[in-house]
Amino acid sequence: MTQFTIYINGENKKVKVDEDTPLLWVIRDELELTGTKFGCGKGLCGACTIHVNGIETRSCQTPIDFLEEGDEITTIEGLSKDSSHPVQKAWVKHDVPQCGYCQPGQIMTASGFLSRNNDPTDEDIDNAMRMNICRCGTYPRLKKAIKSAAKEIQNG
Amino acid sequence: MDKDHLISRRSFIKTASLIGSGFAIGFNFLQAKRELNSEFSPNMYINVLSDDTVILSVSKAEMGQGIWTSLPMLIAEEMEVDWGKVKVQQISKDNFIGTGGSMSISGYGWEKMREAGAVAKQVLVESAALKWKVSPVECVAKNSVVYHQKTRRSTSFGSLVDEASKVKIPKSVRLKKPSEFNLLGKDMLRTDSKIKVDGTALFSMDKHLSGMLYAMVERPKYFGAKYKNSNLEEIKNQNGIIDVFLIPSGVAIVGEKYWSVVKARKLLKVNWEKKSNPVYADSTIYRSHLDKLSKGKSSKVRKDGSPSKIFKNAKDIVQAQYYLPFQTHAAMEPCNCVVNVSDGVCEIWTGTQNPDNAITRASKVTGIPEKNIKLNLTFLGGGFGRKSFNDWIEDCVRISKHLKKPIKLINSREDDTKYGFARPSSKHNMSAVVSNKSIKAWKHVVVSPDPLTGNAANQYGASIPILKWATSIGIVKNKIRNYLVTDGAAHIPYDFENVSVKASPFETDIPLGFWRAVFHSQNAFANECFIDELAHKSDIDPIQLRLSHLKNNIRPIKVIQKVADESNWGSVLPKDHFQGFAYHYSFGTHVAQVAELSIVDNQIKLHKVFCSVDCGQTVNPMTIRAQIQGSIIFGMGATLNSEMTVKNGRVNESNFDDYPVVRFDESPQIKVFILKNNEKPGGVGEPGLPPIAPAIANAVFAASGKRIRKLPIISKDLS
Repeated sequence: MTQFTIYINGENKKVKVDEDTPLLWVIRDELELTGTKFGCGKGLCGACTIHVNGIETRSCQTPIDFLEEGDEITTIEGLSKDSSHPVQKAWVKHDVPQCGYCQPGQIMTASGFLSRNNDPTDEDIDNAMRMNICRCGTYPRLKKAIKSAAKEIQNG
Repeated sequence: MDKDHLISRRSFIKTASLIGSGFAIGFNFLQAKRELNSEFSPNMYINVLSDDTVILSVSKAEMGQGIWTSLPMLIAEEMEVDWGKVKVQQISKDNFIGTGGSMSISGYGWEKMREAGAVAKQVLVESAALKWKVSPVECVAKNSVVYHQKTRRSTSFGSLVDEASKVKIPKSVRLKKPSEFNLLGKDMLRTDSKIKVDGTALFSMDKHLSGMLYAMVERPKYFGAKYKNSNLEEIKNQNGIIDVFLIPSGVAIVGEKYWSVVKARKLLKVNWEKKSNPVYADSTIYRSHLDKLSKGKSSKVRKDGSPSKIFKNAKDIVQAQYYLPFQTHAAMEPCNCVVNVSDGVCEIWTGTQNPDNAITRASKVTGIPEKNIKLNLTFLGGGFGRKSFNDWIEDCVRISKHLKKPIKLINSREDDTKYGFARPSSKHNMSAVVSNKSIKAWKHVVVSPDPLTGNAANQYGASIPILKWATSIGIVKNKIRNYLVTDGAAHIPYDFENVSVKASPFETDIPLGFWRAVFHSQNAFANECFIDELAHKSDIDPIQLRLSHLKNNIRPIKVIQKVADESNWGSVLPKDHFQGFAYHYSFGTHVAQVAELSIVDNQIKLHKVFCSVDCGQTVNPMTIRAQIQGSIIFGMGATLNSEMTVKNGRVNESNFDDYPVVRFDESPQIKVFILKNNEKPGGVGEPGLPPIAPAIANAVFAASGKRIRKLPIISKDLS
């Protein structure tokens, strides 16, 4: 096992894990930030999505030793204080979650993508979201909520 | 945990308040409030605190269906609570029948929760009357306040908790008439959204205990295979591995970290002894058995009129055979749990649709009496029927018992796909006689194993002793299984004069279970595709043919007419768009759908689904729409994308790459129309699913002239 210091949600954290350990299990089991979910272990479903330097990243496919010095990790817990991110607000307003298991991943994907494109077309949204699975079928409300969050981001 | 905690309900809630960060906002907040407050609790669902907070407890599992909102709404309606003062918490008691069958409102909450609320209101009103020395009939409750108009006095529910605790609970109460409802039937935002967008909602995988170890189970490579030998001693020496040992379901690997277990498991080599006579545990063999049985004798389930006579004398009999594949559930959250067996007590954290059964089985495995087994019901990351079976909980209980340590067991996605309880693959032989644009005789033979009396009986039936006993008697067992496999076939709502519905069930080694909508998903496909075929052969509009066989049945007629109107059925559509229709009645609810699609290069693009629903009196239309949309998307995947197959006793599929489900960009535009009435509530978790497969298949016929008689629809079927 190796000791790592990672910068996550604005804090430095020390962990001692095997160097091939996916960030998903470091975040969930070592740091007990359990909002990030395990869905498939193969980068196919998006439930484990976090931001590394603001970019949507599949934490189940990212071993901890892939991180470089200065990399900043954000998880659902660090996205905002008190669920105030426009995406989180839109999710509540549009009653998006059902079982809720995939939603942290959906929110991290949507918030990452909207930070680079706050005026997306339907096709942009489809392309950004197609790698995040929801088995409850919240897609119709996800789409509405993304558009509404984009508006709020545009208006600052 | 000391033993006293296991018995006292008050302490139970106290313990529940500590179950990890997940419920931090809900439970810890509630607990802090409770400690500062005195309270009134007329029953296990309601606690009124002196600061006017009303804690409403939900006994059904929240797996996405919105039960954390709709059950509390039922209480609040009758209790006249200010919805803004309501806090919701989960309990796992009073869940004997489990969560499933679309029954949490229709078969449980509709009366029970409203009565619980009405009782609480009555007691609060009487307490106020007592305090003011007036007659209770002169007092009214509204928005958490009791008023006495004559003397212009009012007092909040919270101010009455001490008096209310002394008032006798009434034996009977009057429930409101639908015209008096303030809350029911209105769109209400979910009570669990906030914790589901900030990452604090507690799923069992999020539970952490000090000293907890991680486990996985390597299950037999082939259904029914027995363990021969393995290199488990070598695996024990892997870094981070605590122990590797046999449990009845396979080889348990336990380590300090989940990742150590994942890595060690890759090195585990087990030799399994295949079962010498596997029972139809291969898709090809199973399929030929379906074909064989469909030609043989079958048992009568329903007979109206003289179908045999009509068929015998008919000049022209229309026949078709339909085939549906196995489907697995693929819930987003793989089965997992945390179990701590120590010193004669056992505590479990899990998301299950069947908590009582989990407790019974944990007791059997550990020898610990049921009263000393505590189950903390967490949110479920999707259920769809899979989480009724509790197999993973039993595994984890055995592992924790063996090591005397808290254990978190996590199935990999591959484990979940390969070792679930699939929807049975089934075959449907349909025949009919049509003359004068009317169906004179209808015959449906269902060939399928049933999930309850076969393999799954040992898994599920354990908690239903009567069922276990009943299925041990041959005649009763046959009756139950014939009834099950023809659910939705025998109860077809059309008024055909001559009907014959028969069943030909059998057993297989493939573990089968309940999949969303159970047999309605298969039988509706056969019914509704076949009636579409009959309409086209007889040159009748498919909707007209159905309506002509629903005389005097006003609810389905209205549902069908609504969707026909909204979808512009029969009028000009956008270029290359085609529509298909289907209607089905299940779980007390009528649903009609029109699917609109186009086919380009043998690829189906589903553009729109129009759906009308009559589920009687609505509770929360917001979650009804969500459930209907979700059912359509779930069913669409099983129609166009996914299929579970078995080769030599082993499931071929493993993850979302080879068991593809519907993704964001494939999701159609869905319009849901809820018909309003005050009929008894029907279910909504499942009824939206059965019509989508036939609606799509019928639209494919409209587009291509090809009849789809086998699912999923593959591009070869379209060329």
